Amino acid sequence: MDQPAGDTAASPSGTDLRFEAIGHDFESQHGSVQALAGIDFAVNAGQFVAILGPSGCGKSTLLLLAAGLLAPSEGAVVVGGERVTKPFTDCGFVFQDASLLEWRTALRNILLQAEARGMDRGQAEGRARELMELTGISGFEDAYPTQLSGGMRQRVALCRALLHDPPVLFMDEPFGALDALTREQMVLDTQRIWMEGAKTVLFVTHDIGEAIVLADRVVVLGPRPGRILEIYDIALPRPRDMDALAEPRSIALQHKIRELLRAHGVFTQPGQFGSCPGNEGTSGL
Amino acid sequence: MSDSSSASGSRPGVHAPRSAPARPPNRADIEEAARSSIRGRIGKSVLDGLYPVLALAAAILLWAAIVAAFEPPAYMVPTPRRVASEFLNQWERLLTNMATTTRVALLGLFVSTVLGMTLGFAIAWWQPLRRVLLPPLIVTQSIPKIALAPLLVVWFGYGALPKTIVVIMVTIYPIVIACTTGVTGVPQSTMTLARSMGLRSFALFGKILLPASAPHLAGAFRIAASLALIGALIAEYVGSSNGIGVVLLMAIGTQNTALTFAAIVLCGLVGSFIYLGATAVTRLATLGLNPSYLGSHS
Ligand SMILES: Nc1ncnc2c1ncn2[C@@H]1O[C@H](COP(=O)(O)OP(=O)(O)O)[C@@H](O)[C@H]1O
Ligand SMILES: [Mg+2]
Repeated sequence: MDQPAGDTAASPSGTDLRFEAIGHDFESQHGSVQALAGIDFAVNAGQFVAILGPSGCGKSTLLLLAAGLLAPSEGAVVVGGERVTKPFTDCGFVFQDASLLEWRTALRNILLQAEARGMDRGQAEGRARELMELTGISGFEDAYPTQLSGGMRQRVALCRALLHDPPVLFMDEPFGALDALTREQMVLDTQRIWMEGAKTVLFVTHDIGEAIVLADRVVVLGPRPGRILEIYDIALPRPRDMDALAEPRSIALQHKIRELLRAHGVFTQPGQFGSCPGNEGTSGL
Repeated sequence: MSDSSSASGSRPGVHAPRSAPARPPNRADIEEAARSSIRGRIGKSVLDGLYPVLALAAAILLWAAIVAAFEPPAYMVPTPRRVASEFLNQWERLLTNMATTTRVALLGLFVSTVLGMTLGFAIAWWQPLRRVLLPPLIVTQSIPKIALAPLLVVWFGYGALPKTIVVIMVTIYPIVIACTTGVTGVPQSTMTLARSMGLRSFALFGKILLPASAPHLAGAFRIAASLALIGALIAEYVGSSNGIGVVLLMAIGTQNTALTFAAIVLCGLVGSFIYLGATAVTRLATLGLNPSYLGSHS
């Protein structure tokens, strides 16, 4: 593998990524849990791919497999033409909880990435400040995470993930904990940053609208064990915003995805199971 | 950055209009909060140093008042003046013995900190080790140290070694637990993040595990510091050739209550200094960390 270094030029178009017949089981005391089965799809270099599915369907597991942090029980992950067999560190991660280190300032949280990779300190700091400017949080270099709003914390996490200019970005429900308005802003900013850098992005979400506005392709996973139900290409022109969701073809798509999930038991109405009569508004809690 | 007014049509990739992000107008508040919290810490440390002195002065006054009011026999409660004169008479004996005890307490505290952190982080990091070591650690923690002390004297004699071991036994547990609590408290996502960055072994420890444990350790270290002198005294009561504990036993044996009081006051003073020293060491060791992060835990 090539050396992850900060001083290499930006790779203009990310790297491609292939899941080849992936299956994954977790072994635990209570036996084996099948988390993923028959996952087979490719992500082109520079593509923005959303992975959409209900909670517990194996989305986070899929990212861990892609990053080589977990070895698949079956199949293989291929990144940039090479099979992933060990942690693939030439990537950036953003999690739902931002995962900032409370004892570090915003700037030093971003610079953790540089320290871990032995990047040149001065250069990294310059780049960190640029990224903070780009994501609209310059001025907060010395603020501690507890002094930042949820959206700002996610922006810091995004800067940290981008610091070393990785060819692949993994985002695991990055806006899941944000309020609706902040989330909308984050969607727009993420799209803008992606359009400027054109990295390969694997974006996990359970929000249909978010997936459609952001992604080139949406991979829909069904509930346990997670398997691919459908892959949709989103051809809407960019830059998109939430109003793109009001266009007839995207309305049709949203409807289709909902129908698909419903057919796999994701949305159930009270009484649909038939086992709890009088469920509507009369149950205990 | 200045040409954002042009339509987004031409080169959307490069000149995409920058939407102004929502920025809460609290920059100044944050700076002020950071500044005042630093100021608060300095002010607090001055008060920390002042309180024990004030409390001591009040205790002496109260003591003098009680003796004056009830006039108890001198072998029960001596006057502060008699205690002071006893101290002046025997200052050399008191100070050399106190020094011996203090050395044992500090050495024990030091070894305990190093050993406790090594053990704690090893246990926290390596599951099998936790299963093997934690139960016996908890069991030995439940044994009163004073019950073990005579055995240590039999094994190691009347010197500093058994006393140091007692101090270690008394102080190590909070330090071990602080490390395990700190490490197990690091969120899964943070560990995943660290691995994706290629952070491993020493770097992972230094950049994440250690600072994550810092607030717990700071608290535990101060607890350990306040227990160290107690441990040394226990050991000296059980069997020792020197130390302030031995002086205390002799003073009580000869009904020299004034000397007893002098020794107790000296122990109190030294104990306070050890605690203050421990607090200063803690502050120094955590200098680069967010003060409110430390404050919120310890
Ligand atoms: N480390 C693990 N050990 C055992 N089971 C796990 C582990 N991680 C995830 N699982 C199980 O695998 C399934 C998929 O989990 P996850 O990938 O976190 O789902 P999602 O991110 O889509 O909510 C769940 O049923 C979960 O309980
Ligand atoms: Mg998840």
